[in-house]
Amino acid sequence: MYETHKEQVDFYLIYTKEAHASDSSRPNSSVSIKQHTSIEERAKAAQSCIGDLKITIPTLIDDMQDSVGNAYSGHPDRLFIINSEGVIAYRGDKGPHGFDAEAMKKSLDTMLK
Amino acid sequence: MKLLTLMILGSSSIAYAQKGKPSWERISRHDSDKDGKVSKVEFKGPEMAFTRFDADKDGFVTKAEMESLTPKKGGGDSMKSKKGGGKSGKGGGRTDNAPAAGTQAPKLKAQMLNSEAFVDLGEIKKTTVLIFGSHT
Repeated sequence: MYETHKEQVDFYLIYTKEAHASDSSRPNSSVSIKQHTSIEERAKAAQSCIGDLKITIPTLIDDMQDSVGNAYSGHPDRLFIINSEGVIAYRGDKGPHGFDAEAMKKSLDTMLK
Repeated sequence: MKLLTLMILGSSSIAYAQKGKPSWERISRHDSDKDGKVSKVEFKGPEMAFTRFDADKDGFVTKAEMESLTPKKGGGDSMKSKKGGGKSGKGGGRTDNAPAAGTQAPKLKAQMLNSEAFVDLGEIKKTTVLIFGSHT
């Protein structure tokens, strides 16, 4: 999707606080990252993530107040489309269960027609 | 949910962006004994992914099962389908403060990774997809 539409559409991965940090009550069993306590730690975790997953989408890091994540209720994961007028054109449901890339893609394709 | 899990499930937009839908070609990499199907033992991904792929629940994922895989349920609000928004039905059950479809994006800035530059999300001039997530 990114490769197909990157000329017409800006994509940003917004790296938020960890969903299942190793020091949380529900740690991820395969990826061990402590909850970030500084922006440097968050940047390091984001770097590790995009490196491990070979992500080429431009990545933004949320601040330590989780300002963007909180404003969008984007934790643990979520999708949005903002149109060229700065208006929310698509608001995905909250992840993990509501995270639906198919639905977002459909909405994006409709917008780009 | 973890981005890694999402990528394996193929439900992440990142996965779509770079790898496409979950396919037999991808899952068959786990077929270590090359018998044409992937057993639960062979599968190295998340158990929930295996459970989803193994449609007939026989303990193996086959090419036919991958080809008939249906998209995960989920979705969202769009300006065309449900202008407005409000609480979404499939979320995690916690408070949902997200801006509704049809409203102005919040005036917030976020820093680019490995850069001093900030992206002003309140001044979007081009169609933009935001993907929230973390490694875990």
